[in-house]
Amino acid sequence: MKTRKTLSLVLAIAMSMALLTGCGGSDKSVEGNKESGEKEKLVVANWQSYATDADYGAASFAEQYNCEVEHYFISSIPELLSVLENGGTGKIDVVCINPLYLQQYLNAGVLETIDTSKLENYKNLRKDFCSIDEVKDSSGNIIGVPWVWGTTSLFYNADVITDEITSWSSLWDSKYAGMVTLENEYDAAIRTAAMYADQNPRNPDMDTVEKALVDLKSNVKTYWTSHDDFVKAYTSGEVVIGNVWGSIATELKNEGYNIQYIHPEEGTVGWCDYWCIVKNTEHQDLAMKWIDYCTGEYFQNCMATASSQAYSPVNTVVTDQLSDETRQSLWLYPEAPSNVNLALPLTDEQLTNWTTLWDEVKAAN
Amino acid sequence: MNAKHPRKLVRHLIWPSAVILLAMSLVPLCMLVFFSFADGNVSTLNGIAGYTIDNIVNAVTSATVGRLMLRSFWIAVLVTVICIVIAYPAAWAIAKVVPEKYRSTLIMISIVPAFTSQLLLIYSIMTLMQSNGLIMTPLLKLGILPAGTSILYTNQAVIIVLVYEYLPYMILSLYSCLEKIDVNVIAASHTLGANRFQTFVNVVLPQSFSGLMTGILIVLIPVAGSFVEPNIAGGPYSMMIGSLIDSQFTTAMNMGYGAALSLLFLLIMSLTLAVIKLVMKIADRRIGG
Repeated sequence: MKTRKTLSLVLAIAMSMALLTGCGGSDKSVEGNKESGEKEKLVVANWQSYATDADYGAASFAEQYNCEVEHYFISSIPELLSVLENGGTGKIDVVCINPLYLQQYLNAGVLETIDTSKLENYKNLRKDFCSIDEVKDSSGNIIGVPWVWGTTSLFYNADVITDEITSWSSLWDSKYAGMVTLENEYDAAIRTAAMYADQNPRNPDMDTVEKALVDLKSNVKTYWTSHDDFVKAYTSGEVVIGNVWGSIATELKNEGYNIQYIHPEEGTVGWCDYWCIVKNTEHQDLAMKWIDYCTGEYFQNCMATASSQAYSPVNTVVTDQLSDETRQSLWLYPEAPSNVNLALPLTDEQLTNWTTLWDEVKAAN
Repeated sequence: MNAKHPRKLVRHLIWPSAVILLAMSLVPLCMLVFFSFADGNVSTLNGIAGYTIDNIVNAVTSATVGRLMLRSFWIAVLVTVICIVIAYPAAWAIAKVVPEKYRSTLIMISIVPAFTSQLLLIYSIMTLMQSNGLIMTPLLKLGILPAGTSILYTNQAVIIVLVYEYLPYMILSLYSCLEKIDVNVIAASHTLGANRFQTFVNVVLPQSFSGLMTGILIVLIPVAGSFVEPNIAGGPYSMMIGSLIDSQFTTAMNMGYGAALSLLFLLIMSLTLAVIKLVMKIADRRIGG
């Protein structure tokens, strides 16, 4: 009987303690988890097979900071925004966003400002990527930190073209009639033509660009639409010069094709992805550590030297330390291009004008 | 047992198909008309920004749309005619020349491409057409074509891919009619002095008009609205109206204009089919007699 009473008392005390712990705020809950041995969990929203789910990404970070990292794989930009707006906030802590959509997310009120003075590696990141207006809110606070970038630049088949190619104007050279390919994408096409025509790639004169793109049609063999589409056209010898993603050029080079990929003197078309912190995250400190880790030397170096799907580092110290061989494979040799025109958001009016222009160019006889 | 009951039951059995027809055909059609007046994009988050007639006006007055409609229509007519020319003898051979026990096998073989993934079909035929492919290599080696010639990434390539994709449907449509033609009627035609061509025009053609009409319907409309084939196998001058409609939904994010273009395309194709049907009806009366 006594034993029963003692057991009931112990159970009652245990239940009361559990109840009290449960009633505490969320931070206390995390602390309670820590005390009870449960690890803090960071939820990272990113595209699948995009560096962070490799061994050197989430797994290594989790080990280093004694925490758990869970990936939320993005299926589309609108879907992620919808998730964050409808309850995802508070569950997802860090998101990978392209500057094309950063302001859209900011306006939806789902992003937190980032105190970059607390990020050890921020000072080493490419200044041109850190300073764009799209990564700042209306007060000038930073909302995104760059971590990976790439280009859509000029390639040529060095087996067929022996001349030195240094400019976008080669695409318009009648010598290459019927050998040119261009990505079937309005943004890259218009900014490429703008650079060729000596226009501001962010706000070119549309008539000049249209004329340049229509003139280019007589040289174009095809407009490629996907990775497979390009690889098929290139490997069959149908196209020998044009624009392509750096990653495809690297892949073909690694497979033994004599492809050259250069950053023309007029500048090159680029893209860059940023880490953003979700508003009201319970894991603010861990989210900051994640961003610092992904922009730090270890992660950036692993990302640049990965045997498959390597990406260009944003950290300039890492870029400087890469071997010549790695820099060559990432098309950063002898040095990374300085004149990179990032894909940035267009106003609704610009989007209509740009897509209409591209459709008219493709429809022209 | 009341004899009227089975009839009543049959009448009730129509309801499921009527509901499906309503849900899958009439409702989307009404939605297409409605969204044609939507200003800009329509999203689940923001709904419709407003309503405008500009989409319809722009679609009707745009020179680009006119050019693409004409190009699409021309390619669709060519593909349909080529399909008819190839499918008639093929369907006739299967229906009347080949022994009966092999017919189902041959029909299966001819429609196998229709069971295959569309992308796989396009890429496989592209492999044959590329400059170092199975078709081009012997032609270049024999000197029939000059070095460096390639049919890939041209309008001809788009037409070949589309014919390859849609030929099975034409064969199947024609076969279903040709198979029912009584061989004695053909024999009678020959006995009465008609040659092969006259027999075809006066006997075979009138009796296979319904199959031909079905084949034209199944081939002409989807071919005119194609956008994957010209995007992948076509060149810089191969864009069709389907690509423009596609770009409104995927890149320009202008669903309203995309819907207006689709509506215009639907009206033009309906009108075209009405004309074709009328012409064939007149021809049927004249020939059949």
